[in-house]
Amino acid sequence: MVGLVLVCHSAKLAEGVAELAVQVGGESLRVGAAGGLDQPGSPLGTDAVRVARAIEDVWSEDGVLVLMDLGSAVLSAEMALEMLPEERRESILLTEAPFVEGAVAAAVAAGLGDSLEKVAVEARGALAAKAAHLAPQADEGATRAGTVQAPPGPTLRLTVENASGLHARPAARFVRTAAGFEADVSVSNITTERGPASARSLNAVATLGVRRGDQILVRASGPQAEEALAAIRRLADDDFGDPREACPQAGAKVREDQSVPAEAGVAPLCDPAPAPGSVLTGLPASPGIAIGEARPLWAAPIEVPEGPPQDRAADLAALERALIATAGDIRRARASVAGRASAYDAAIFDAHLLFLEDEALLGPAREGVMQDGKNAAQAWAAAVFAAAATWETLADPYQRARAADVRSVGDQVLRHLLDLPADFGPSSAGLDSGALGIVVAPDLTPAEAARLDPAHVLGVACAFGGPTSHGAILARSLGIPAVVGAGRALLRVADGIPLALDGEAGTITVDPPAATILAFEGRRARRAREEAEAQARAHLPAVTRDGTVVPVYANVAGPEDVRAAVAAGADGVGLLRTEFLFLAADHPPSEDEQERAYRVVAEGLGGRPLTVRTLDAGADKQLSYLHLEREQNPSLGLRGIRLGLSRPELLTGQLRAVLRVAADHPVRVMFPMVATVDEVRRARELLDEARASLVEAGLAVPGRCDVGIMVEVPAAALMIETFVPHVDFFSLGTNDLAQYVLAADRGNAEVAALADGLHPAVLRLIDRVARAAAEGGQSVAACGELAGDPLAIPLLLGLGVAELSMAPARIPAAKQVVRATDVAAARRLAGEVLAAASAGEVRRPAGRR
Amino acid sequence: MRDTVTQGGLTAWLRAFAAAVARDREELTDLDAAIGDADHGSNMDRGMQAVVGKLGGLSPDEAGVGVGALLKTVGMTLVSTVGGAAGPLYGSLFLDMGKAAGEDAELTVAQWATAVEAGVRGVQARGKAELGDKTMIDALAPAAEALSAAAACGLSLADALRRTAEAAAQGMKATTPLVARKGRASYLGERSAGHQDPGATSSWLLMQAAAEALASDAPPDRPRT
Repeated sequence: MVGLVLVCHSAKLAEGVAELAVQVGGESLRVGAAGGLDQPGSPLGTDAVRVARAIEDVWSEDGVLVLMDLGSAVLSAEMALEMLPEERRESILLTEAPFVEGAVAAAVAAGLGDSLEKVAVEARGALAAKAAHLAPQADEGATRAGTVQAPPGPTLRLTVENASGLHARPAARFVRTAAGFEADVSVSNITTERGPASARSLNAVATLGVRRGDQILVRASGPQAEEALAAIRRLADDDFGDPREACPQAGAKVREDQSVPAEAGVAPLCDPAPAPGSVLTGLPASPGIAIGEARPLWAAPIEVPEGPPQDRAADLAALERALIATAGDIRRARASVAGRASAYDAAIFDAHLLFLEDEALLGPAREGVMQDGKNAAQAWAAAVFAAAATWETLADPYQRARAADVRSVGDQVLRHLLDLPADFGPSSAGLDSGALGIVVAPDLTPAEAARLDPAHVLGVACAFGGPTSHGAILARSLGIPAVVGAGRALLRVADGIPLALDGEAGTITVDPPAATILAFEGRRARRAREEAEAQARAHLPAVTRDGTVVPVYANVAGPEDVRAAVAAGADGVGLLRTEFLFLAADHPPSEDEQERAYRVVAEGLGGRPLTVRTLDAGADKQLSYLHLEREQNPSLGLRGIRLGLSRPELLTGQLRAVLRVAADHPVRVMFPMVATVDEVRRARELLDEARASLVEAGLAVPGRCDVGIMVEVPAAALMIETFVPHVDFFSLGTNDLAQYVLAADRGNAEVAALADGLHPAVLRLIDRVARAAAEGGQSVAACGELAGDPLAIPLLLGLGVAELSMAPARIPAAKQVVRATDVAAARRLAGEVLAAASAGEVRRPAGRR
Repeated sequence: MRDTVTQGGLTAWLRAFAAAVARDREELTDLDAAIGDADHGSNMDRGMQAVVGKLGGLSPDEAGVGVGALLKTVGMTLVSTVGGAAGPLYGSLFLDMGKAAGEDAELTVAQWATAVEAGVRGVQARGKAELGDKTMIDALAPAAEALSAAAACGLSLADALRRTAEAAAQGMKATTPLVARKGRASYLGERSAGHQDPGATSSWLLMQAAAEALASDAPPDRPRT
């Protein structure tokens, strides 16, 4: 928990403010009062030594926020900082926040367990509520600061009838109550049409200016949405904790109005750009700190060719095709955000679809081609320009904002017309010029994420998406800090606006104040030191504190990854994905082609072990030559070993190639997507056949080639004992295992968060596999996302996983985590988390170590 | 008279400064009342009385640790007892002087000048004040400059300290017409003009006390062991 230190001239004032802080932040709040002098008569003044002591008293790794009154308090606080050990200074922030308001706001945020940066932002924004109260219309900017997109989900409409409304302590109680549940809660003031505001932020709630008699709309989403609303209703029934006598209308305090449909959101149709210093909160997707300019990737300027149409009719037809294709894109985008974002967000897409049928656009565009002799792109661009310009002349800001929508749709059509990559690509602004920046995008598809170049991309910020979507996974594997699901407001951030992105807290600070930048840079410097240390030790074996050597392998997708894997300190390759050979061409690769490719990988490893996974393709991959039937549900379809067994010639060829390399190198083979023992038996038969045919052909075969299976189908994990006699090793594919156990597609952002590999259901299966393997003498590896997750590694080792395989970029840090782990202690911890009730519960104890 | 700064000289200087502050306490407070919060005299007096108490209470070991350690003790004492902005500012002056002075038992004029310069730089870094902002710096900066010049010319300690005090006096007087740009007085804006700055005044007292006592041959409070 972030600690607070209150520095002021009066000991009484400091103690009084500390008392207020504890009242709103909870008894466990770490707050230190450093007021007055430790002299007879307790004279007014500040004492740097006393400040330093107070900081030491409340200090923890989470950091300390120092609030000061004025004059010598500032000097004493600065001096106190210099008295403290240098390594601690980075996590101590002196803030210019107002002393009393700032302390109260910071106390609430600290009490909720927010990061130092968030606590500081809350403190600094603390005057906004008072400003809004005293001059309700004066400072719209301040009231916007905490505006969020309302999460979808159940709502509760209340009329607030306690004396002070949602201010000060009632607001703090509201925030604390809402934060007690696994739910995203937002609140709008219906009466004044303010909000929605995040219920996690005292400032945001307070700036709604909810007074007695105002109606509020509370909206919640997430697993405990209903419970959160019920608790808020109880709190409201209790006058938000205000003393009864303060509320003359006690008894009829709150009317619970009818539930309102989700469409009734009061969000402005066009979000304003986030105010400087505002913090957008999303989900942590890839760890790390990034400070840089925003590079909105959907806004790449498009060069429109000039000149006459090649053929007017053909140009018109091309325009029609582009309009149809764009409509398809928009519908898909709508489907992907509908429900997860508010219905209002989805409605934006409906408005965009309407533009595509708008005669005010289509008419001039067609005329441009037919009468003015412009090419289709030029004619369309001119029509869009004119329409946008018309919108922009309107007085109403809401209508003016339509201009941006027209341009956005116009660009989408142009991209189709000119055959440019959709919304994203190496030609995009910023990246193309080689300028470093933080990529800002609605969401990243795997194709888009695959184009991210770590040399140019400091960080990734997505408005939508989940932490286990492919984009997030790729960002992690590239070592690029990322935050996803930050909300639509992110898309209003203009090109070049400075951003500070925290991939661990899941926050993006827009145009961060100097103090935030300093704090971030301090953390980044610390992280860089840690990374340098990890890198320096990357090539040494990873040995736990109690002496167990844990091989840390790389997951690679082709020969070109091997060099990076070895450079990153990989002790071998724990997962060679062989799809690269099969996806690249319109025919299956020959056995010789495969043999050469696997040999390049094995040779690149210089004697380190290599695990080859046989083809793991299905109907979702473009293997045209297999003529696979289109499937309703490819992830539950003919894929992995099922495909291999249904096309034995394909699998046998691959196995022969693997065996030929295994004759000269330490290679083992692994079958994916195994559900039954029978599949393993048949696959082993094919392997035996392949070996026999090689011997017959006079080719060298290995004396022994270990055989393993991926454990990713829950049935295999549950029946693991039956597999024990048939395999030499197990490798846990934690991504798919989690997705199948929790029945949640990790590519579907709406449910992706469910497919958490740290869910106890997944961990219990891992435990089961590890126990059976220990009895049978098999080794257990993990090769999913979990294997490279610093939080998960001690748990995996504690559960009995002996080998880890991960994206090369994660290896140095993972080895450091292994080195810091004590297996005996990890075993105890693993025992505890198996009893946990949720992934959240698992993450908490694991994160505290 | 000696030509080096000794621990005995330092204690004599600090006692003389404490006495001067006690004597002029009301005057400093009156100056502060005109443009500040009327506590500079009482704050400095409380701080310097604490320093004198510390000097008397130094154990023989501490008493013999060298010029630097003594100056640092003074700095920490002021930080904890003055209370106003003068606490961290005079605290920085003595702490940084102490750091620059090192562990020698005696300092030459040149070494003393280096220490004073370091101390004044410390005050500037702490308060972020520039010459002409109507602060302590207006007395301290010219004083440090004069001291360095005197040391460079090879003047005796007594002469160097006298010139230092004269420069401080001139700087102090020059604050009267200035408009304050730092500290509480800056809230007054133009109205701060016409009043001598209390911080510059106490800084002059400090340099004046040095001219009177620092070159003295007084023995340390306790015999060295």
